[in-house]
Amino acid sequence: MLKAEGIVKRYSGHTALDGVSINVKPQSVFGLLGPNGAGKTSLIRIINQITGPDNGEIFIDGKPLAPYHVERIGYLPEERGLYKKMKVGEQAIYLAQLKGMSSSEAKKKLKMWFDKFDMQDWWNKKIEDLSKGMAQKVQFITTVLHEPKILILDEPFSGFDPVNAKLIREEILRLRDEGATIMLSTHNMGSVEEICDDIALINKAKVVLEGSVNEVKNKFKKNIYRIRFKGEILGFTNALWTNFELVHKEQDKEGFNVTDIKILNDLSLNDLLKTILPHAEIQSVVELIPSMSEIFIEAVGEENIEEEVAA
Amino acid sequence: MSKVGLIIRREYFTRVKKKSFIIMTILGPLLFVGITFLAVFLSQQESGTTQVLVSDPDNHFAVLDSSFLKNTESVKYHREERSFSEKEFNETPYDLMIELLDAEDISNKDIPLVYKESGPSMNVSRKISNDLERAYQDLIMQSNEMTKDDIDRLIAKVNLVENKVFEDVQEVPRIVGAVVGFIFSLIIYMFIFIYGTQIMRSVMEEKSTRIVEVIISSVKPFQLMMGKIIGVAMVALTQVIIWIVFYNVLMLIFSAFFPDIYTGGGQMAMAQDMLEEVNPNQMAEKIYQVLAQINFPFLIGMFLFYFLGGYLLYGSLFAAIGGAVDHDTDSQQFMLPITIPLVFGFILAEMAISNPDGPAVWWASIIPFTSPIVMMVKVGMMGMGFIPIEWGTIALSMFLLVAGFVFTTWMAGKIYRTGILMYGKKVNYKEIWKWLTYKV
Repeated sequence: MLKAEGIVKRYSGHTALDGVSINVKPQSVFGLLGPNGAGKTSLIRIINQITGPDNGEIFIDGKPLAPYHVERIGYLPEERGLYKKMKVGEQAIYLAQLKGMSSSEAKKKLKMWFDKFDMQDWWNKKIEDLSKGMAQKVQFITTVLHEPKILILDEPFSGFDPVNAKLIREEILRLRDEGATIMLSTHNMGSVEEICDDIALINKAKVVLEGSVNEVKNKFKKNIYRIRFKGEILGFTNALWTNFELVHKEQDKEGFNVTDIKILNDLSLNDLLKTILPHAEIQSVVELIPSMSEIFIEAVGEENIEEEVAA
Repeated sequence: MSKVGLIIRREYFTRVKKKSFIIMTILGPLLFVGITFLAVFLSQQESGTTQVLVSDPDNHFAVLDSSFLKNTESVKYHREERSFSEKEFNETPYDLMIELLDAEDISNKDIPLVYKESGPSMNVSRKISNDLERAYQDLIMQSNEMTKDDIDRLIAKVNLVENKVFEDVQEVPRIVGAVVGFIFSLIIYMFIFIYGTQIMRSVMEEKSTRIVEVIISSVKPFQLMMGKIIGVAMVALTQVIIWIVFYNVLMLIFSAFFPDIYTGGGQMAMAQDMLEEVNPNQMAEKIYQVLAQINFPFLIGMFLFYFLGGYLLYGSLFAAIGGAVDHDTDSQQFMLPITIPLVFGFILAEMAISNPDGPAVWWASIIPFTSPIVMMVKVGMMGMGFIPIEWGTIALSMFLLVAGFVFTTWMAGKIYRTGILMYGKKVNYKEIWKWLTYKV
């Protein structure tokens, strides 16, 4: 559906994108991740034809990116806003017209969205009279009003309170189910796990990690299991010997031991269970799968994250 | 509607519907008419009558008939055939005293004027000197046994030299043409500043509200910039046209109510002060003559061209500044290179009034950054037939102006499209220079 091949973008001081290729499948939600300054916004701007690449090409439905594609893309930039002094309805119609809709069509669709979000009486209000969250809702509607085949959302959840963020999340998934292809960039790793089908992680102008969320997670899991049991902890740890490593241990409120154990030397979970069975009355065994947030930190490297926080 | 059309429409209607626009559009002409009438009114209205004591100890003026020192509402003469010391004068009821000197000595026309509290107004002193001039002329005439015809012939000779080529216009000095042109220059100068600043602010607003990125995902930055410039230009034109129409309607209404004050052309009345050599009594007649002489299609056509040309040239630069900076305060340093040529042009336009043929004025009327302002003064003179229409110079100036705004628009477009996406970055000239070389 949306494909980038070997995109290179240089500014006088630095290289923003260095041979970036991604492939967004139709009717999926694609997460574009990476620390600030990694090149996400540069890539998004190229897809929106705000700037052009120095090298490489973008394809939509197999066709090279062209001006007419503008009307099929809905774009919510990270740095976003609306005309403060313009009325909500008037403004939304104007933006829809710029995307090629007729005024009457835009009006009809807007009414529908306004009903849906229960904001019928906002039509004649100025943006400056709305709260930030309300303005964000209007902004989201103007992004999707022309029913774009491709939606590009740069940090769509920033600025929303949890209730509205949930609302937007549901809308994104509904739009996907109705046939839209969505690409979003976010720092909110929780939402990545919830809504993204595939991801690409960009760091220092390059794609360092890509694939479906499950694939990526499997790739990063460390063969660590959390075992909750009753029994003598000393005997238990002695039994692990050199084939297993005790990564973490604690006692929970109910008096159970909770241990994280990494399996070494090509052994399996069965081997681990056989080893510990004589020493423990096992209550539960769970594989520890890393969160996207942990994967992000591991792939990008701690020092880069700190830089980001500092910036 | 095309996308640029949509942008123009939005820029136009959001401005025209603003309260400040409506107020300025109505108040502007009222203010102008008010100022015009006030100026005319004040120039005609004296604070009461000035009593003038004419001290004529040698009794020169006895031989002249009294019409030379004619009393009017503003000036009343009292001739005494003796001299007064300052102390003596102070005890008389008169406001001023003029002491007549030896009439034979025409090389010395310095006539002492003594006043008590405040000196005479422009009008009073002009009337007194006019009256005295004619009185002296007559005296000289009589003592040399010349007739009035001799004097007229003498003056006619002088006029003949000045108007060898353009005989029609000997009655009105060419400064009137320059002043008419200068009024147009002033309008262009004002509108470039007012509406240029509006463009800049509007670009800055789009940048600071962050809507700009949403919009340029639908249209090219250049389209947005041009749409804005054209939309604002149409607002400016709307305002100018409404002003001109409204002003003339108001002048008609006012002149119907105050026929004494209004003497056939408000602007002309303002120019009156500059026309000291014209007898105020013949002013109205002269003004009609001037109006009849104006080549209106030429003048208005040129005005619209230079108005739009100058506006487009500077408008795109204002847009570039708006795109480059984040805050109003940062814009000051970049305003300077725009302000300097504009102010320089304005100074040269003032120079052109008295010396339209100088080389500095010629160059300034050719160079696009000053030509819209300076050329209008010359165009004013050409449009009124004071100097021949120099089609060659005009063509060159127009061509360079078009080339100039194509160039500034191209340059501004490059600065603009990079600048609008740079948030929170302090820019300097070096940085902007780099943007000019960026590939999109």
